[in-house]
Amino acid sequence: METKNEIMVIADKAMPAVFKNAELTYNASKNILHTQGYTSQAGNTYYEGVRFSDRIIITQQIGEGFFYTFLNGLRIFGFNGKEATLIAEKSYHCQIHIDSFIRDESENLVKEYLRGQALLSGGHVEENVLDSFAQSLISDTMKNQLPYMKQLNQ
Amino acid sequence: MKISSSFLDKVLPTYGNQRGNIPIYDSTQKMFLSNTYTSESGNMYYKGLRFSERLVMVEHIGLYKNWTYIDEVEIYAFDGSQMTLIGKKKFDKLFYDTGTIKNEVIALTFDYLKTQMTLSGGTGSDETLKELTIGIIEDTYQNSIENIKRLPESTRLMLN
Repeated sequence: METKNEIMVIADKAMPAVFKNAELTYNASKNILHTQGYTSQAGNTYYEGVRFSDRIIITQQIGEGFFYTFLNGLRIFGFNGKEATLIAEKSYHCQIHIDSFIRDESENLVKEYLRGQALLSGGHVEENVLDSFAQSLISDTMKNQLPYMKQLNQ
Repeated sequence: MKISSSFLDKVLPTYGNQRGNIPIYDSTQKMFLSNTYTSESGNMYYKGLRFSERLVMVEHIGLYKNWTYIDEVEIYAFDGSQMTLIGKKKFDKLFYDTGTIKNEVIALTFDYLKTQMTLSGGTGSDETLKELTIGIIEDTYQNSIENIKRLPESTRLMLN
């Protein structure tokens, strides 16, 4: 399947830690990549959900329990050359997996990263500008993933 | 300050372009993050740094699939504008947990202070020393982004 091969090439280049030897599947209805699941002895299944934009990668650490799907963590990576570099990480305990929650949290993590980068560059960015940029950057990860795969693969 | 495209290109470059050399501050963890390193076996590692006026704490962190591990902690004191290692502990497959790490670091720092006190011929109760240690370590967990401006360049280099 061409799409899957394409995804594997990019994923292996940019995120070997996440994708090395991983069987990725593309969930078209949710427009997200899923890593292969691991089922613990307790019967819980763990896998990662991944979305790319041309500037960031968001990985969701997901756990499937008996009744519920949980969000165990969020990691946001930026690019540094052809390597991914972590810019924010947050863990959750007993947090039900809800798309709108993940979006809000991702926006906040990116916003705080931008705020920090501005401060460390000797500047200050207005709150509404930070909000707007963070929302835009997260929206980009919600777009159809396939064009980004092509761009990253060049 | 506006967010210009050049600023964005510096802090969140597109794939294939170098990120600017600005330290990464993770406000959720109240920690500075080093560049991420990926091993040949595909695991990802980075260092988390917490600073106070008296200590630098370095967490060696590993990312493997869904899990985050603490591999090692190091504690440095200042010696002039340099840093000197005063405590270090390695862990084997220990899940990252802030409370556990804090307790380990308190124990390491307590041991250092007690030894220093003994070697200096000083006396004091363990309770008092423990309180002092907890205060010093708590300061590193109040790590704020402004701290980095006060740090000597040698310390900031650890972020690379």
